Amino acid sequence: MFQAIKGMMTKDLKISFRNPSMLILSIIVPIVFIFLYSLISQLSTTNPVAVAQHSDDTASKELTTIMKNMEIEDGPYYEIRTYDPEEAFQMYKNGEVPALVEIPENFDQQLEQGEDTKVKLFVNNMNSDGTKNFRLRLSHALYQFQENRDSASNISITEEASTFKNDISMKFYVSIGLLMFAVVYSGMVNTGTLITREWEERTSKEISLSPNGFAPLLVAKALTALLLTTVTTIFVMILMAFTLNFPIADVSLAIIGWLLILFLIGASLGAFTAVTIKKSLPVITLSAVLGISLYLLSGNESSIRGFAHGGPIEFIWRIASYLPMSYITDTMRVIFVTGKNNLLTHTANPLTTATSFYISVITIPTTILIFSWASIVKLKNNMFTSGGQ
Amino acid sequence: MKWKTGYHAVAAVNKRNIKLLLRQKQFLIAPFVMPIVVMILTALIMGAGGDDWPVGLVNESNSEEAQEFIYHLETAHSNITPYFSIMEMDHEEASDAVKDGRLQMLIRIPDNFHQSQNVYTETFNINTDMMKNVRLRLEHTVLNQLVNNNELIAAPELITEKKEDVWRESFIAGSSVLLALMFTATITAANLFAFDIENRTQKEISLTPLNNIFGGIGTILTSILMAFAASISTMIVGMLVFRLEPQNLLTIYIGIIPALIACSIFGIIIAHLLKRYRVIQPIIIVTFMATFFGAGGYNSVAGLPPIARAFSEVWGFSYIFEWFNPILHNFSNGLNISQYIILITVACIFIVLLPIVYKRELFVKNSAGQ
Repeated sequence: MFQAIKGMMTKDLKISFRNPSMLILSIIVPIVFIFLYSLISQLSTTNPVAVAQHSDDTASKELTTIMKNMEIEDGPYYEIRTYDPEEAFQMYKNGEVPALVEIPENFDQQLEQGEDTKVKLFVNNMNSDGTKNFRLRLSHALYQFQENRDSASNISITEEASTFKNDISMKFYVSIGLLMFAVVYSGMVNTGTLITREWEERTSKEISLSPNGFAPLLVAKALTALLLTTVTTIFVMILMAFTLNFPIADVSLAIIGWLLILFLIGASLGAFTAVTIKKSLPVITLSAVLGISLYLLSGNESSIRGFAHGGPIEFIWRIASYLPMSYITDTMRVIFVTGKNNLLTHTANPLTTATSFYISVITIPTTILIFSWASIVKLKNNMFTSGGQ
Repeated sequence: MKWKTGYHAVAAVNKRNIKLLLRQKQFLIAPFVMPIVVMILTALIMGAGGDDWPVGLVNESNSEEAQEFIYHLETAHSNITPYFSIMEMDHEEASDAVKDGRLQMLIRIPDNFHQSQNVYTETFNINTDMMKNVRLRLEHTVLNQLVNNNELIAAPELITEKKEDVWRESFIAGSSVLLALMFTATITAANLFAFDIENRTQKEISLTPLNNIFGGIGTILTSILMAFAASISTMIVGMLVFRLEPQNLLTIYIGIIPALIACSIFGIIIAHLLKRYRVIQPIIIVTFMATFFGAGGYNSVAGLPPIARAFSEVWGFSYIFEWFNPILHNFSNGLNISQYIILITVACIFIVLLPIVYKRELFVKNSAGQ
C-alpha cells in the first residue's frame, strides 16, 4: 500500500516537474493575479491629486500641510503630485491627475476679511467613486482646517466604541482574502488536473487494473495535490509579505489548520469537477472563475455586510454569508489581528454571528464530505469504464 | 487570382473556426461568461449601487441644533445619491447591528448636543476603507451644517467635467465591455491556435499549397468577430443592470480593431510558446482579470497608486481602458491622431511577428506518431 502511494506520488511529481505547465497553473497563475491585484490595494487609501497653491501665505501652507499629513494606517490620503498652479492645471488638463484642488490667491487675506472663501475641487467625474472620494477627502481636510482655526464652532466627533482597537488595515484585509483564493484555487487545480491526467494520458485503465486497489490512488492524489498547494501557498505568502505587508511571521498552527481545511474544500471541489467533466481545460477555467468569484464574495463578506441592505447586494451578501470560505477567511483575520488561536466559538470571534458560526459548523464538513464522497463514487465508476482504451 | 485564393482560404478557416467554437462550447465559456461574471460581482460588491451608506442614528436631544444636524445627515449627498441611509433609530438595535457588522456606524446625538457640539459614534471598523467612507461622510455633514450657519471659514466648491457623474457601476460595466473585447480576441486566438497544434491540424494546414499564414489571418478574423459578439452580450447586461449608456459605439468598434488584431496575434504567440490550451486558458483569464483591476479597468490609470501607474505605463492593455472609456462615456468624441498612429503601429508590429510565429511553428516537430 505504502509503496503504491509512494510510486503514484513519484510519478505525478515527476510528470509535474517534467512538464512545467502544471507548475505554471498552480503557482504562476495565483501569483500573477495577486501581484496585479495588490497593485491597487493602495487605491482605497491614497488618491493622486494636484494642488494649485497660488500663494505662500500661512493659511495656504496650513491647508497644504493638513492635506499632506492626512493619513490612516494604510498610508496618506493624498499623493500630492505638485503644488505649482501652472503645472497642476496642465497635469489635470492632460489627464495625468484625476483631480485638482485650487487654494485661492491671498487665502490668508480672504479668511481674515471674512470673505466667502472657496477651495475649488476640479474632478474628472467619469467615475462617481472618484468624485465622491476626492470630495470627502477635501471635506476631511477642511474639517481639520476648521478645527485648527475655529474649534469652538466646529462639531466634534468622538468614537466611543469600536469592534477592534485599531481599524483593520485594508492591505491586511485584502491579503487574507487573496490567501483564501490562492489555497482554494490551487487545491482545485492541482487535484483536478492530477485526476483528469489519468484520462487524458490514457492511464486510467492501468490504474484500474492495479492489484493494490483503489485507495492508494486517492491517498496519493490528495497528498501530491497538498504538496503542490503548499508550495503555491508559501510563494503567495512571500509575495504578499512584500506587496501587502502580509504578517508572514505570525502564521500560527491555527492558521495552518484553517489553510488545510481550505485546501480540503478546494480539493474536494476540484476532484468533483474533474471526475464530472474529465477534461482539464474546463476544470482549470472553472477553478479560475470560482477562485476569483470566491475572493470577491467570501473575501469581502464582512466588508459588504454593513451596506448590504436591500437590492441585489443583499442577495449577493446572503450567498456569501452561507459560504464556508467566508467564515474561515474572517476567522483567519481575527487570529492574525488578536493573536488568539482558540476561536472555537462565535462569542470569541467578533467578525462572526451565532448564525454564521452554526451554518459554518455544518457547511464546512458537509462541503468536504459530500464533494469528496461524490468524487470517489464517480471516480470509481468512471475509472472502470474507460471506454475505448 | 492569388488574392482570391487567399480570400477563400481565410474565409474557409474562419468558417471552420466558428463551427469549431460552436461545437467545442468549452472555448466559449470563458469569453462570454468571464467578463459578465467580473462585471456583476465587481459592480455589485465594489460598486454597490449608489453612495448611500447605511447607518444607525440615535437622537437623545430635543434641541433645534440636533434637528438641524439630522436634517443635514439626511440631505448630505454626493453627485449621485444621498450619503447616508438611516436604517435604525433605536439605540439597542442599532448598537447590536454595529456589533454584528450589519451597520458600520451608529451616530449618537447626546441630550446636551446644543451645548457640547459633540456627536458620538460606534463603529464596526472592519477595515480602513469602510471606515474612511463612513467617517468622512460624517465630517462632510458637519461642514454642511457649518456652511448653513455661516460658520465655515473655507468651503469646498466642486467643479466637474460633465454635469452628471458616470455611476461607479456604469464605469465598471463599460470597462467590462472593453475587457470582453481584448480578452475574447486574445483567448479565442490562443485557443484556436493551440487546438490546431494539439489536434495536429497545423500539420494539415502546412501541407496545403498556400502559406500557413492564411490560417493565422482566419484565426484573427474569427477572434475579432467573437470579441465583438462577447462585448455586445456584456454591453447588454451592463445596459440592463448597471445603467450603462454606451456612446460613440461606431468610433469604438472601428478604432479598437487594430488593438484587437494585436490582441489576437498576442494570443497566437502565447499559444505558440505554451502549446497546450489547458495551460494557456488560466494564464490569459487571470492576467486579464488582474489587468482589469490593476491597470485601468476598475479605476482610471491617473487615479491609481504610483506603482500601478508605473506598471500601467508599460502594460499595453491599460491604454485600451484609458483611451476608450472616455469615448464610451462621452467624455471624449474619439481617439486623437497620435492614439490612432500608436494603435496602428502596434498592430503592424504584431502583424510582422505573425509570419515569424507561423514559420517557427513549421519547424516544431510536434506531429508525434503521424
